Amino acid sequence: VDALMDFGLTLEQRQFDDSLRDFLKDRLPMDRLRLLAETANGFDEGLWQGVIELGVLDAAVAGEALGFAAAPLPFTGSMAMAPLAFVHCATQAQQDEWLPRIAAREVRFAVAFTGLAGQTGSATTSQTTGLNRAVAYAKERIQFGRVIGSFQGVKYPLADCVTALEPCRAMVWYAAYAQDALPEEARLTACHAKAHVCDVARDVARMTTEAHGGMGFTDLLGLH
Amino acid sequence: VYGGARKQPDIMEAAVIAGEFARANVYAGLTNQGISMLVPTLLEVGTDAQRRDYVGPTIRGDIIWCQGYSEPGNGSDLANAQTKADLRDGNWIANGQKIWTRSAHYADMMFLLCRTEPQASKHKGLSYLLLSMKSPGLDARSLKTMTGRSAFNEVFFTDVAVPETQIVLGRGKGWYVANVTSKHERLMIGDAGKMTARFAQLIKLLGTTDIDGVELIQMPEYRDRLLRLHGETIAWKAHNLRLLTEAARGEESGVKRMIVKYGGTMLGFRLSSLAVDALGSAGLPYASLGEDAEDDDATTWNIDYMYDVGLTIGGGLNNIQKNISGERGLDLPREPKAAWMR
Repeated sequence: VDALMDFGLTLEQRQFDDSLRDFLKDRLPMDRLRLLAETANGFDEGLWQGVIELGVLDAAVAGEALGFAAAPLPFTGSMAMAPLAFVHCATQAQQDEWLPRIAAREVRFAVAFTGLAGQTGSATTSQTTGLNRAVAYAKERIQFGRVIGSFQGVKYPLADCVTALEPCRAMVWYAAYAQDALPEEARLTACHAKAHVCDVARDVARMTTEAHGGMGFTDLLGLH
Repeated sequence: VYGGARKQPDIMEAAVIAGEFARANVYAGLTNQGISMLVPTLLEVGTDAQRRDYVGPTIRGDIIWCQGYSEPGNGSDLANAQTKADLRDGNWIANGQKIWTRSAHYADMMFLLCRTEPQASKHKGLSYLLLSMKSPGLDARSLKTMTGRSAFNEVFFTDVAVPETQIVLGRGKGWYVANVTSKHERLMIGDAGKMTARFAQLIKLLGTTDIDGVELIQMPEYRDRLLRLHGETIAWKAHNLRLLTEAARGEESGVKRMIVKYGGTMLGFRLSSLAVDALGSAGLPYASLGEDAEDDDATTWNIDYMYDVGLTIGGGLNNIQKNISGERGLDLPREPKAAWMR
């Protein structure tokens, strides 16, 4: 079956997504993220080992889950793009030299590359987290004697956010699928996914921050 | 059983066929409110006799339907419809007025939302009737819109008799039936296949229009807008694939479906806005509109542009769509009722 005719995550991908998200929820509470953001390289060595032990199967799904938790990992470069580049483009000798070292975590790669399915996935889901938090806040914060989420002035921007954001998830899947199966669309969809998702992510980030009022601007909530 | 291809419905196959027609920019046979809205509604909640009488003739184009919903005083607040029908000697006798009735000037039949239970609460007092447009006492008058054309009508009812059996699902069930119908209308309005076809036309327009010998598609300001719209179009196309897959798997799509009408019509409006900007003075409203307008590109884009404004209003205003996405999709609290309504 053409994957475009069955366009959604498989059961295995969903289970993987769930298990990765559960794992990250336990390992990355807000105070841990804050601590990491203040270190020199902003990188979680312990988490990296844990993620590798999970067995990363699908770059886009993993990117989404990592973005959901704002995980500080060199995931796109080292886990997704560098091995792919080696497998597709490198000589056998180069592969023999570098792939085992990547797997053994001896080296990490940074990449400048167009096929950024994992990265755009992270941008999408990090904003899904932002939206979920704004919705939760709008349901409990009371002003003028009402829960603020009942005001259309708050509700509509959040509806705008979900309207812009949901198609981004499908777009990232489409771009990721194109890397594997639609070579003639691969480059175009990857570039468009990066450009479009990042535009949407910035708008959503700003609107969901505003929904939190002054609290959103503090360092305390950690929306940034 | 009721006409058609005599096979199990296949959502994917239907989508592939519709997608190919849209890509080729050809009409995929008849598309009208009878086929896309009433037929699925009757298949879901109609009686056997209603399905037998109407499904086959409707999909063959022998019966054209129009939708009797909006009223001058009750548009977004559709459940407050006041056109009434009283049961007398085996007939519903309808009185009142509908507006925004598309195709009423040539339709054979109407599906009408009207108040049959005046004592019941707002939502429980409505019924859904099927009636002939040739019924005595029914008067359809055309309504000219900002596109310069008259696709819509006002319909006046003065003691219009409708046989008692022409009710769908039963007395007081009209609101439920209307919601079954609207579900199909919102899907019809947010069609991503059409967006992809229009985007291709937009590329052609920018490639064949120039200012001082420079094609617009070579100019950074047009190119930037075009490419942003391309990204959006791809995103909605992928979103549509996701919804189709979920429908084929029998999964509930929830908020993902609720955003389609609002998101799709806004993208459509932005696409035609760029076209109208590219057309320059030819894109000025009213220069090429009206019943007698030639079907050149400028006219088509002008009409699309104006019509897209209408689409953000028709089929449930976009601000109502945002209420739906916010309240049913994100589970945000409803706007409290005004004090005088409590």
